[in-house]
Amino acid sequence: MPSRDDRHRSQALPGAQGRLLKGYAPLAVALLVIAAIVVVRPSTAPDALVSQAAKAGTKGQPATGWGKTVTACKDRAKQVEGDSYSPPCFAFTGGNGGATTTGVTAKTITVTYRRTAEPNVLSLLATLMGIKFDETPKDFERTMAGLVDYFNKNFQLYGRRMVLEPYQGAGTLAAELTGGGQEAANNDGIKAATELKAFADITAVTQPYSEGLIKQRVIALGAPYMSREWFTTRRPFAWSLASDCSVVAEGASEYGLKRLIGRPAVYAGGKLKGKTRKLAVIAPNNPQYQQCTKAGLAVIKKAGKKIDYVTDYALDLGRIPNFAKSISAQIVSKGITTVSCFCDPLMLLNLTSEIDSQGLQPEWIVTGVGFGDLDLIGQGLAKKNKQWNRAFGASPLAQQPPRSQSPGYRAFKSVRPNEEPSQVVDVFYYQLYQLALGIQMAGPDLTPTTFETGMFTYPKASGPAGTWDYFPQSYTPIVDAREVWWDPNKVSPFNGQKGSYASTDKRFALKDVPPGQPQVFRR
Amino acid sequence: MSDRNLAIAGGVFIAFVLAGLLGLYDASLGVVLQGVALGLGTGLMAVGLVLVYRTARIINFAYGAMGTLAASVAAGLKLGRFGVNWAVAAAVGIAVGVLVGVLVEVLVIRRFANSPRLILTVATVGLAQALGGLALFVPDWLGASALVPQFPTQLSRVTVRIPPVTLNGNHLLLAALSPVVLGALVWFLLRSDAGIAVRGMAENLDRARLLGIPVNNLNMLLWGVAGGLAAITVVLKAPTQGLTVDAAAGPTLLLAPLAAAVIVGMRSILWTFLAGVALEVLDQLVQINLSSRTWTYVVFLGVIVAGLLFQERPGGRGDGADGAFSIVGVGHALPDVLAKLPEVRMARVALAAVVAAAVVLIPVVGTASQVNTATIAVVYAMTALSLVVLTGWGGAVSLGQIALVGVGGVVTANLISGWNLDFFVTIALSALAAGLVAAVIGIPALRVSGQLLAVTTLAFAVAMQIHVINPANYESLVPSDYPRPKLFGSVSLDSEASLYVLALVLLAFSVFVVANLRRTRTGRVIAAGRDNARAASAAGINTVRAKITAFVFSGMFAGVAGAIHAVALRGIGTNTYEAADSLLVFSMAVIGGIASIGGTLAGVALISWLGYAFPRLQLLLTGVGLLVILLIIPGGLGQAAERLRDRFAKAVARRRGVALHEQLELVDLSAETPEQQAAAAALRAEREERGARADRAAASAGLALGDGDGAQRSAALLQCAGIESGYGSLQVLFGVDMDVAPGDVLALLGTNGAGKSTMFKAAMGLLPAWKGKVVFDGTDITGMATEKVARLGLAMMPGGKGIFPTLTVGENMRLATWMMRRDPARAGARTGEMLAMFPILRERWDQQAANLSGGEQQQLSIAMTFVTDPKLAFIDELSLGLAPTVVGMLVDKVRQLHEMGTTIVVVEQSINVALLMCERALFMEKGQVRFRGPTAGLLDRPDILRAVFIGSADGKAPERARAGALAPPEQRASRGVTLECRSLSKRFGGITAVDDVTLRVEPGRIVGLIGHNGAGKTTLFDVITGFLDANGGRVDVGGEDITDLAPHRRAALDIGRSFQEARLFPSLTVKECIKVALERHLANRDPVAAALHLPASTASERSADARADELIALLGLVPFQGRATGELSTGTRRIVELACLLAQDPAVILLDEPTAGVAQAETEALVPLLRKIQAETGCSMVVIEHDMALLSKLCDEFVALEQGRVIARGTPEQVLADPQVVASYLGTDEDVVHRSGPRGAAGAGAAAATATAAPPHAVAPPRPADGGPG
Repeated sequence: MPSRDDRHRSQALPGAQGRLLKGYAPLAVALLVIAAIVVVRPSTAPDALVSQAAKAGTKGQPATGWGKTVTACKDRAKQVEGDSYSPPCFAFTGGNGGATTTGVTAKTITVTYRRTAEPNVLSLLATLMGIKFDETPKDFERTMAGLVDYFNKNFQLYGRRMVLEPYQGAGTLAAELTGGGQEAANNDGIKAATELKAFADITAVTQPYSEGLIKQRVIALGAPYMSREWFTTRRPFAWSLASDCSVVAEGASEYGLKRLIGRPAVYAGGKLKGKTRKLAVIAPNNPQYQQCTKAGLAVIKKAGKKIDYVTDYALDLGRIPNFAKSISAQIVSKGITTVSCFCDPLMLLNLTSEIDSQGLQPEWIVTGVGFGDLDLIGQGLAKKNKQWNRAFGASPLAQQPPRSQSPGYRAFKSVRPNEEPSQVVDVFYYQLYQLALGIQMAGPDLTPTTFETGMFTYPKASGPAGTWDYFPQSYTPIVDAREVWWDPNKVSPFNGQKGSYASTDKRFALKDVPPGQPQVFRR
Repeated sequence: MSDRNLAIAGGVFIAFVLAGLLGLYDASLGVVLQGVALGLGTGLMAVGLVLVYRTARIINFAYGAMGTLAASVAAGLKLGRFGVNWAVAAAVGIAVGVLVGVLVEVLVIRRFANSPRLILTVATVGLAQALGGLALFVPDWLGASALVPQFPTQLSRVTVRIPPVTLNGNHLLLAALSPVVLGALVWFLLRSDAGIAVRGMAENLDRARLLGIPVNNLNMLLWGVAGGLAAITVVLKAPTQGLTVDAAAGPTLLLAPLAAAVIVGMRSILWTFLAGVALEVLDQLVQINLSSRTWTYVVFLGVIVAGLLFQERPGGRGDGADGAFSIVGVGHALPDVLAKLPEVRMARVALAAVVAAAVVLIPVVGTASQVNTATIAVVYAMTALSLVVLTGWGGAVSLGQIALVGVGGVVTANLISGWNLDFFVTIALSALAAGLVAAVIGIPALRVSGQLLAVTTLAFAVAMQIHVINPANYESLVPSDYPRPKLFGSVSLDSEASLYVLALVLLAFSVFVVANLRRTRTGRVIAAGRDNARAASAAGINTVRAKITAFVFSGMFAGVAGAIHAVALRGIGTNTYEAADSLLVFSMAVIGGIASIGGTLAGVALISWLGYAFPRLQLLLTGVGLLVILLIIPGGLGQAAERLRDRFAKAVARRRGVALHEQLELVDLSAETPEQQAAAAALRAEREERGARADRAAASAGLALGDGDGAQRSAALLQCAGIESGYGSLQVLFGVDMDVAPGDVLALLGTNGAGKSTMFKAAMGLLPAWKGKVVFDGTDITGMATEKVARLGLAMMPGGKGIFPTLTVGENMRLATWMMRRDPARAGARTGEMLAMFPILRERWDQQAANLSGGEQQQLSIAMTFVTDPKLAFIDELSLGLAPTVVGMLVDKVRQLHEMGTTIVVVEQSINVALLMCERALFMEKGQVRFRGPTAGLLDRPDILRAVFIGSADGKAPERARAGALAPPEQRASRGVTLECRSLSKRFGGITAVDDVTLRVEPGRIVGLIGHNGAGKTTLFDVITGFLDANGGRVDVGGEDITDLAPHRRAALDIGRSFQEARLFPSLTVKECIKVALERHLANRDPVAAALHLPASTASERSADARADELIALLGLVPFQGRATGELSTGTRRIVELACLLAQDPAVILLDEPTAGVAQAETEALVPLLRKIQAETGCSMVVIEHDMALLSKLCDEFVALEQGRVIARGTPEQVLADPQVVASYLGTDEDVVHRSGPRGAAGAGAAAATATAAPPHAVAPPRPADGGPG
């Protein structure tokens, strides 16, 4: 056994400084090299996706090829006669430039269609609301394919045709609707962009999937109720039929200022009836809805008014009922007469149930976000109790015509006369309409940018689905609304069941709400 | 929290609520009542958690999933295609809950009966996922929605209005049922046989088994009750609070009940229920008073952390830890001889090539989305690596790693979008930030560990997910959109392949770092701290710093993962970092083998692939996979791969005719070096001589040597043949034979650690008999469950643990008659007989057993043992800690019971008491029977007892001169360091364990510390080494006051210590253990240098390696150097421990029972080694040892302790002859003999003779030490 001193000597190294130098020299060298690389060849990010402001095009003309390969039709003004929203009719001759961007060839425009574990967002909502909705994923896919045929046939696509590319995604709608599932949604976006070479996706009905596509520079159609900021920071890729919630919130505020605030709550029930309105605004604690809420509240503030109770809740499915209880107690204690809930359907279900169990009969403002103005949701809400019978407000959505007369149905039948489309054919129709519209208005040199410019050149149009107008900062079509109320006895053209939104069908610009008490509940 | 703290917290809470009601903030009675209504459910759920915790000692993370599965059935039946009436649906749901609970116990919990609690807790994480995965399918099957909002029932029409809240019939039902359920639960626990048994089981499972209580059946019942409770809660809440069948909802749903249970310290059912109610009230008040409702999650986190920080720390040496998680499946390297085989090397290269090819080919052959999936898998792999460090090595279970990934992600996102910093700098800063946050999380971990830390990290993950990393709350903090950087200005990470390659490089770098850490000091000390924090501290390791280092590194790996994750997603949004994903990553790591880098990576790869291939089944597969892995290969895929590798290598070796070293344990350690051979031979000769004298003395007293009861065997009531048994890897019994004839009264005698109590336990089935056979009354009971053994009429009164302290006397007796409960008349009659025999029990009938005096408790224990009229009863330590009058009375009672027909075997600390009671005796030594025979006359022959116990027949203490090889004390080497304790005292509550002890150990001296069990020896060591704070006095080493220093700092100041159990660091190899002990001699302890394999570290490691190799060679440990110490025999571990002490090289060494648990042959090797260590190092030693003969030979001086006080000091001869010491060791023999009366005519004579003739210097065996095998 060596002596202690021997051992200590064996462990001894040269002096402390020398040891330090010797022991850490590689690290010092490595740090110097890294520092040099960082200075000389930094690994930084290129410019952000959005580098320049969006520009409006010349109304009524395609963004590209006008006067060269594209001219106005000589035989008719509209591309589709009888269609209120039809773009101007364009004649095309010459070459279309071939593969102008990803997903576009001389003959095709690839449009992806994501299949998920759940058949469709509407069927998911129907299940949630307890409404029968027996359609299969195949029904949806077939309907979409038929509508693609319709637009291929009737719109000017400059020698190309849209090709629907269905694929099985990894994401799930239920998770993505609450902001989760980003990894899978992102992965689906990559798949659509890189493997299927999509120019656009027509099923981008969740924020994560939309963002997954947009990050891959694929046009995403369908993100529901995103904020103005969200759309503008993701231009020119983000588009949706569902209204920009900033616009809706500002419209709702206008509606509140002109028709609700300071006036008696004539449509409330029980002890609240006739009391001067006290408003509650509720929105989930996610950035988009909070941005929209801020936009709406700014309008109120600008008018020198205020909302009596503004609150939020977390998109935590497990605790939404708990939040509903707390909110409901506050609504009661603050004497709220009128509830404006920019909420998801689950919160609406819980909140109406909770308020109902309190014996309170407030007015419920239909906000036009969170799918709340769909008959499907209204039916679900009305099934639980009678709270929704006092629901009214402004909705960008139009009155649904009887199914057989709906534009979507007729479009489908015009190309597939022997088949029946899905009940939600109109939703698909209008969704796809935007895509076809943008493609036509882009002209032959089709890129996301020309798509955007093309959309901005689309002349404002009004029809059964409201007034459509696209312009910088407006990436959703509907710019007006109608005053609606829930009619429990009206049969919904959507599914033939009792309960539907009724309206006078007079539309008004969201920034030009007529003053006076709401003219609702007219039988 | 203590009751006092709970009362304070309750008072503060009530004051807080009142302040709100008085208008200091927004609150109303209705809101409070609403909180109460919500809290009823939360309280009940929390009660269920506590119920399971109290009995199984685990936090059941599957509890919420059990309830959700049941409620999904109920809600599905009502709202789905069947439209079943709610009352029926709810009943079915509750029944499903009960069934789920029962199945969980039978299929899962029971399988983990012998696993550490933490393993079982982790199993519940898997169970939660499996049940959650199963629940996802229920809505589909029943045609209902997975998201169930509130729904009306028949009770919804009934309403009660308390503004601003209206409660309906469903609330009222829950409110009405809560007290009923709680009452029923309390009734069940307090009044029913099963409930009392459950409470008893919670206190002392072994005692319950000994009473014949069917613990498995009762556990099943308990889990059924828990499942039913979960189901009742979630089912009945569903109409008013809805139901979410979603994996992501699991953690948030369990948060409030967990918080309630944790702040109460998992104790009182009533307090827990109230805490659940209070938390929901608090939740409601927070929601309405803070601008974002998401603050409520932060408040829950705060409540949990505060609750844990105010938790009473378990004190003392018996700290009931959860058990180290990664002790299972510790990886081991292939022995060199096998590793160098060409086939093995080729196979290794081929496997590496295949893995590398697979990994490299992904971007080549995979599509972009597949490559992206692989990138995310790499992110999970890095996160899982962070768990290797934290959980695998550090033993800290974290269920919140994804939140740390989120921290890294947020930092990266900000630095890219806001600063456009260089990406590599960004990664580094992200790692640092996550490491910093992890260090903050680590602070509670210094106070709590295991399961409670898991709760904390889960709460942290939820708060981070919903509140902190939420752009709605912190818009500027959480960028939702940013581009991917370009590497070196040219390689765009927009390409999935580029990002994947970068992620892979970072993963490889992480693996490099993790492997470096593990190989070097940083990994060693983290694992050592996990394995045995006390031993690590005693080796000079700052375990706090080691733990925090583990957290920091873990956080840094997660931070790097977060950087890649953030770039992969290009945006962070709400719910990007879901707490549920933390459970997924944890499961991946466990499935892979959380202590193994390769295994963990394999686990991630497997689960990621399963998720890719079967997305809907991922949760179910992960959960089931985790359970299967824990059950079959606790070390995960890594361990399975190691087994395959070993088999392959051995097969190759056999084919090549290479000798294998599979019998390494059989190597004779004691003869590895010439020095040892000489020392061992000398001692062996000496011992043989001593033994021969003892043998002659024993024979002259009629005692047989070895197994001399062959004639009796055929007629024996109990036959034990060749029993080998022990605790874990600690073998205590080495082939014990014991026969007990009907009507016998047999004493089992021996020194502490001889294996007497262990023998009882092995016979009763409380410990597995590794070898041998036990036959009772003609039935082979080897391996039979204890409760079945008890039913055959074999009873045992355990020493000092014979009662259930929190149960009343009546309840104790009721439990004792469990086996007769179907015959109440007989049970009543027998109980009456016992009460007649012990009338004090009747008087104390309704008192808690804990409040009885020691004698009364022992009477109760005897009554409980004999009430069933057993054929044979083991009595372990009848007189333990009792006054002489009481002992005398108890001896009488035992005699009466024997006369009533019960055969009795006694283990007794007081040899005189034992001999008075018994007609025959077995003398055990070091786990073997040494003598056996009649006790008649032994009381008259103290010389024989001495010979048996300390090997000297002449009545004198052993002579130190025998150790002729030793240098006289004054000539020994000395380091000149004196240990001096002045007036040290240590109190535990009202007990003074160390009382004004002054001790001076001169340089180079060896001091023996003697005293029987409870004398305060180990406590004194704990105070000297800093593991316990002194209540008075001071400790100086080398003239420096170290009284207030932490243990590791005392170690650095030249104090070394061994521990009685010699656990060392079970997961570390012998060489690593020695290197741990070299801590204070290391030239470099910098974790950064270690992580990066810098020369500073490698030089230090080389030096440590050289020294360790030197010591390994010196002590003959070469064959064991690569083996985990947990796999070694106790004797070998003692050698390793000494090697560690040599490595540590302290000036003062404290040795706590260095021969405990060591077989005789190995003991002989230890003593010369101790001498050699002293001679070589010049240290001084203080040795606690019960083997007086050995101690006498070793020490210069003895110090005797009694009840914490020094009663004698001097040379061994002087101390052993000291009357006080003799009295202390013999117990109160004279009093006992006088008061216990004669055993018979002969006994009377013997007693009288003993009372008068016992020489004052006679030494009896000491009592067993705390917790050790006796």
